Amino acid sequence: MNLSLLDPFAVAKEYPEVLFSKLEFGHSTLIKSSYNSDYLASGTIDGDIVIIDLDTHGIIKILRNHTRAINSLRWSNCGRYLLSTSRDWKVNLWDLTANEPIRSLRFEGPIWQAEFSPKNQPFEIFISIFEDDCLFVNWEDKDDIRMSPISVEGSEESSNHYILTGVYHPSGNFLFVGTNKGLVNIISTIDGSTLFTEKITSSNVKNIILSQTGYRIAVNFSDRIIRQFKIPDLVNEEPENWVLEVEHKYQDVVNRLQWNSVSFNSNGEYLIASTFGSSHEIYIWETTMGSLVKILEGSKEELVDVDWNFKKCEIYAVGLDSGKIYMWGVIVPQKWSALAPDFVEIEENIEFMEREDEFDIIPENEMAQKNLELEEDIEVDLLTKDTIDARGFSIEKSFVIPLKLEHSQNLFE
Amino acid sequence: MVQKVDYELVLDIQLGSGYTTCAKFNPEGSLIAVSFANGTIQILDQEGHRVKELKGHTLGVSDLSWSEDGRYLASASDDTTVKIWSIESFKCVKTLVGHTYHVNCVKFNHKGNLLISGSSDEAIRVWDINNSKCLKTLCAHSDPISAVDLSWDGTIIVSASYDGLIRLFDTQSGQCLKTLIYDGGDVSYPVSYVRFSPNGKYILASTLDGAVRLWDYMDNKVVKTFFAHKQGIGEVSKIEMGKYNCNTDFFIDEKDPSRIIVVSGSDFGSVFLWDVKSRKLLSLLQASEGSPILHVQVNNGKLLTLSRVGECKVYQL
Repeated sequence: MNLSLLDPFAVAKEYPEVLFSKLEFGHSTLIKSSYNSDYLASGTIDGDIVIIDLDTHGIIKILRNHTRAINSLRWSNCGRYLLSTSRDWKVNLWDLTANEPIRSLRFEGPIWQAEFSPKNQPFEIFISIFEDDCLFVNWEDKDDIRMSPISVEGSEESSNHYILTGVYHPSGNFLFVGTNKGLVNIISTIDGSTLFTEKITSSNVKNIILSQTGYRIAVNFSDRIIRQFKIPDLVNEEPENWVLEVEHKYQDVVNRLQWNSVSFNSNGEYLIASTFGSSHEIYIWETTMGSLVKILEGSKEELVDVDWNFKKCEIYAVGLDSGKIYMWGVIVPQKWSALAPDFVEIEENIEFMEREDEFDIIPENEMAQKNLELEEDIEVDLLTKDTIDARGFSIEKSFVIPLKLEHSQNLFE
Repeated sequence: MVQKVDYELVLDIQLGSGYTTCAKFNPEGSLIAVSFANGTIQILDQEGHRVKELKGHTLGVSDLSWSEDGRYLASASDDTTVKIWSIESFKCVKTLVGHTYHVNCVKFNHKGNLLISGSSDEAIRVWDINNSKCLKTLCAHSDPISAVDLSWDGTIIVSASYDGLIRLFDTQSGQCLKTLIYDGGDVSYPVSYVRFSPNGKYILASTLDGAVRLWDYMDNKVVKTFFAHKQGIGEVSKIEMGKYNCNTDFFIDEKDPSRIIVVSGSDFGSVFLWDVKSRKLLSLLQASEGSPILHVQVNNGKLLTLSRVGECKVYQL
């Protein structure tokens, strides 16, 4: 609600510009903010998951079960569940009201990533595994965990061909996957069949991200190019008519930079990427024209994971060497006229024109009486709440992680 | 035709000797916390029996606030600290130290992670409860802070001060967003209480000239004024209140949600119930024999009143 009182120019900013804070809670490798932008989960190099309250920038919870670095983290849409994978070959599902994982799976080898399906959260997930078929898992029933493997289709070279990463379409019926041979496939989540396949290039897919609106997909390949595609109408068109149309290619032609991690903003109009190697910046592109609009600077080290917090309009990134979390945001200037209601801030001089009744002397009582009479007809609605804020996001109370104040002191030590 | 508000006294307790300062139902309505000028806090059940006494403050307690889940109670004291008590163990779990003079008011945000306090040191502080750390100190008033409140989504803080100003602050950045001042000619009366409407779009403010005003803060104007009349319904001469910070609350009639009533305590033991739309006084409830009503609270259709000399009453509205 505060946004409607702030400087509209600052509120209308589409992307953050200023590095305003650095957080250091252990050596972070990975970060993810919750859908409602209240919390930030940070996975550390020794397997802890630190939950940071973004109102206070303080730790409110540490989830301990993994024994090696966390390599993927996902929030459920409701904000109550967290899905984590780690280099200890485990996938855990956490309920944030408790401190122990409520579901856990251990594999025979390393895991790349786990994703929540938009349907039946938090019990339907997708897991991609190192040099093995990836899996759809339903673990609603603890004692009857159902797994269905998916292998790569649509390519002649089937040996050593694996799915590395995947992302669900918002409908929950389709999964976009990327393989180590440069294929982008669309898989039906209903029967696991491959509906669409296209070879884009011959190098690894590093990440696939989908805009929340479901219009765009961006694929980060290890050939140093991020390709942005328009998603075909999956629901109404037949799979044989689907085309993945390249909208833009993002690359640094001069320095030939590799991109570490990519993220969209809420409506998919901006794309950010962190850079590999000696460049310590985050690039922001505008996605309709494909132009570079901003380079975020300020860190003194290579940045690995990036995350866009939509509601707060902030970008977070993790430093490779120090494990610090860097935070960029929009700085709203103090309106000095807010402190003195009789003053107005003006851009330039205005010539004074006296209003007709400006210096009329009206007896105080008369004035007060007049004001009171005016009040009679004013309709007031004290109950109806706004449902969206000034940036267009819905405002509603969401899941709050309960605090345990009795033993919160020195949580991190 | 303005309909009167019916009420029925369901609980009438006399709380010992000594002055009482604040009484609040927990969100569930099963417990009442009462604070005393000697620094103690009593937790009572619905029948008025004492469940526990919380001791720890060295000077009087002025205000209390329940967390939304009802597990914690915050207390503001003249000993310059704010304490947070667990209602499961009845122990003090946090002491927030930072104010340099009497703390007059406290408020939890809905998530229970932030606490706002206002003090006679003229500052408002925003606390990270979990780490007992003061995140921000808002120094924009030039007299003691009498009340603070938060919008329902927790993003705006409103404060009332004896300097006559009502200010709105951004919770996240601590910036002052707006200042409201009632221009009543030469003097602006001290603001003794302030609260947001349930949807956070209006502010209800009490001033020591005996008026309660409803502000549309986006528009910077008063949209409704409610006056306290000494003789009750029909009497026109308004009275000066001037001494005590009697607070207010909204009562939303469940049978008729379009009817919203403003409830306010007064200096001389009466509780006023005004209809928001027509600004008419609907009922005048004598909750004390002349002792000021320091606190009123509406919770699940029940009205809790507390006088300065320990008369604690609950009415079914």
